[in-house]
Amino acid sequence: MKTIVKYEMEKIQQNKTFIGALIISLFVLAGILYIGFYYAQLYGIDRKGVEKYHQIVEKSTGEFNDQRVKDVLTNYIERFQSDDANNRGFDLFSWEIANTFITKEKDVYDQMNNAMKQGDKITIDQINLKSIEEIGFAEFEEPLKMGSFVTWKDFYNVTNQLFLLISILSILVCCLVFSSDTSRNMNPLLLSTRCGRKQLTIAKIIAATSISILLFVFIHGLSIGAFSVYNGGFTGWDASIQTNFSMELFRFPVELNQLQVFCIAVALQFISLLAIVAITLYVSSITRSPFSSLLIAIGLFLLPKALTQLIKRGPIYHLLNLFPINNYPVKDFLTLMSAKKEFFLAQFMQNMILTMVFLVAIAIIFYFAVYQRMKQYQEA
Amino acid sequence: MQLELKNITKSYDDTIALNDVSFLLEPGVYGLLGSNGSGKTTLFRIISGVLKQTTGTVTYNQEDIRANSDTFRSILGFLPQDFSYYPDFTGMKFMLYIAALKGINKNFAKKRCLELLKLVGLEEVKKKKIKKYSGGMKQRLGIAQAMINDPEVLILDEPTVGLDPKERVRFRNLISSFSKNKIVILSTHIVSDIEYIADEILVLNKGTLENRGPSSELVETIHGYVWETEVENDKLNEMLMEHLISNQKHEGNRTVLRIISKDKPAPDARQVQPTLEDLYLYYFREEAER
Repeated sequence: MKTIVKYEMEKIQQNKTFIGALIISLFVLAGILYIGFYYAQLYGIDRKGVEKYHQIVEKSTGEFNDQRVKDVLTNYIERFQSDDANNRGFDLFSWEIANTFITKEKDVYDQMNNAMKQGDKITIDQINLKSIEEIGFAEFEEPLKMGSFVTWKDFYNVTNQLFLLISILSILVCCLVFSSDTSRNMNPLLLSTRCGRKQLTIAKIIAATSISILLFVFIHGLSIGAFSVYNGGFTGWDASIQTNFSMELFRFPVELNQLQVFCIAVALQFISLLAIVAITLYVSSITRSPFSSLLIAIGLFLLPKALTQLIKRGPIYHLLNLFPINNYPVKDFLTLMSAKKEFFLAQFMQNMILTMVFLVAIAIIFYFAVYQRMKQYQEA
Repeated sequence: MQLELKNITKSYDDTIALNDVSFLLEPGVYGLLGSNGSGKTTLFRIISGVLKQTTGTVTYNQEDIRANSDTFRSILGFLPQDFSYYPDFTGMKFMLYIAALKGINKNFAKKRCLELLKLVGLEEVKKKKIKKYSGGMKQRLGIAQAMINDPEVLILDEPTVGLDPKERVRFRNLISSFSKNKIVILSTHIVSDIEYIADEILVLNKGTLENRGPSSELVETIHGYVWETEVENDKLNEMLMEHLISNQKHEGNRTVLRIISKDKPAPDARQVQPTLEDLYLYYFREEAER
C-alpha cells in the first residue's frame, strides 16, 4: 500500500495542472501575506506604525474595566492633541476603542481640532464615555482581558483568505485524482489489476488527502511565521475575543481568548478541508475529465453561499450554514454559531460541535462513496 | 484451466454490441478476428471485468469471475486498446507501478520488470520518460506490463498496433514462448500476426461469434470461393464494381485480380488456395467495400 501511495503522490506532483496551480498559488499566498501583514493599515505612512502600536498596546494590556478604558482614551486624546496634525500617526488601537466607548452625540475629533486651533485642549472628563455595562459586554467569572487586537484581526483576515486558497488548491489536486486516469483511458488497465480497485482507491484517497493536508500545514505554517514577525511574537494571544474591538463581538457568549479562537478556526478549516477533499474526490470519480470535475467541485463548494442569498431562514438556511463556504470567516462562525436563528442549536459550542460532526460525517460518507464507486466501477 | 463465456450479450440502449457469444478456451493462443465495431474490445473488457455484460456469465475454472473478481484479477494480464501512459514516468517506474498494483513483492518486481523490459527490447531506455518513447516503444511497454504477474490469462487488445515488422516478429516470438500452459487471447487487424501464432481463430462479426477453429480449418471453409483472373485494364473498373477483390497486380496492360466469390467471376478464372486474409475479407466484406 505504501508503494502505491508513493506512486499516486508522484502522479499528482508530476501533473502539469498541479505544478501550474502551485506556482500561481505561491504568488497568491505571497500577495495575501504581503497585503495582510506587510502592507497592513497599521504600518502607517512612515512604516513605524507597528512599533508605535506595540508601545501603546503594552501600556493598555491588562484586565478590561472602565478605568482601563478611560486610561487608554486619556492617553489617546492627550497624544492626539499634543502631536502635530501632519506628523500624527493613525493610532488604530485607541481609535477602535474610542469608536466603541465615546458617545456619538458630538464628534470628538472636531471637538479636539477646534480646541487645538484655539491653543487649548479638551480632557477626558469633557467627553461622554459609555460604560462596559452600557455597551453590554459579555461577563464571565473571570474578568475579560484586553491586549493587542488589531494585529489579530489582520491575522484572522489572512486566515480567512488562506482557507479559500487552500480549498481551491485542494479541489484542483483532488479533481485530478480519478478523472485524470479516466480521461487517459487508464481505467481498463488499472482496474483489471489485483489491487486496482480496493488498494488503489484507498491509496489515491490517502495521497490526495495527504497532499491537501501538507498544503494546509505548509500554508498555515507560513502564515503563522509571517504573523509572528508582524506581531513581534504572539502578544495579545490571551486577550479576550470580546475585547477585539475591530471585530465588534462584545456580546459573544463564550469565554475565549484570541489564540483559542484561532485554534478553533484552524480546526474548523481542517475538518472543512477533509469534507471538501472527500466531495471533490467523489466528483472526480464520477466525471470523465479533470476540467469538468474541477468545474463541478468548485460549483458545489460555492453553491451553499449562493443558496443562502435565496433562502434566508428556516431549517434549510440552518443546513446551508453548516457548509464551509458559509462559516469559514472567523467573525462569521463566531456570530452565526452563537445565534439560534442562524444555526440549529442555541449555544456556540453545541453549534461548533454539530458543524464539525456534520463535516466529518460528510467526509466519511464521501470517502466511502468513492471507495464503493471505484470498487464496483464499470465502464459505460 | 478453462475460461468459458456463456451466452454473453451486451447491449447499449438500442445497440447490441455482443449477441449471445459463447465459447470455451483452454491453454493456447487465440486470435480474435473482427472488423472495427465488431465487439472485440467490448468482449475483452467484459472478460477483464471492466465492463458488465447485460446477460450471460464468464467463468474461469468453473467459477464466475465477477463473484471471484479478486482471484481472477490476480491471474489476469491485460493490454487495453488506446490508453495513455503517464508521460512523466520512466518505463521502469511505470512497470514498477503496475507491479505494485498487481501485488508483486517489491524486490521480485524489480527483477521481473528488468527481465521483461529486456525481452521487449526496452532495457536501454528504461530510465527515459515515456513521453520520449515512440508509438512502438509504448506498445512494447504495454505488452511487458501485461506479463508482469506471469498471468494465466493474457488478453491483448490490438497488441501489434504501431509495431514495425521487426518488432512484430519479436512480439510473435515473445507470445509463443510465453503461451505454454496459458490462455492468450489477442485481437489484431494484421491478419498475418494471428495466422502465425494463433492456435485457434475466433471470428467475431457484428457482435456474433461466426466461426472458430484453427487457421487452416477456417480457411478451408472458403475453399472454392477464391479466384484469380487476368483482365484488360479497360475492364478493370467494371470488375472492381462487381466483385470483392482481395488483391490486384498490374502486369503491362493487364491486371491480375484475386477475387472472392461463390460463383466463377470470369470464364477464364481459376480457383486458388484461400488465405486468412481472404477469409477476413469474406467475413468482413462490408468493411472492405467501404
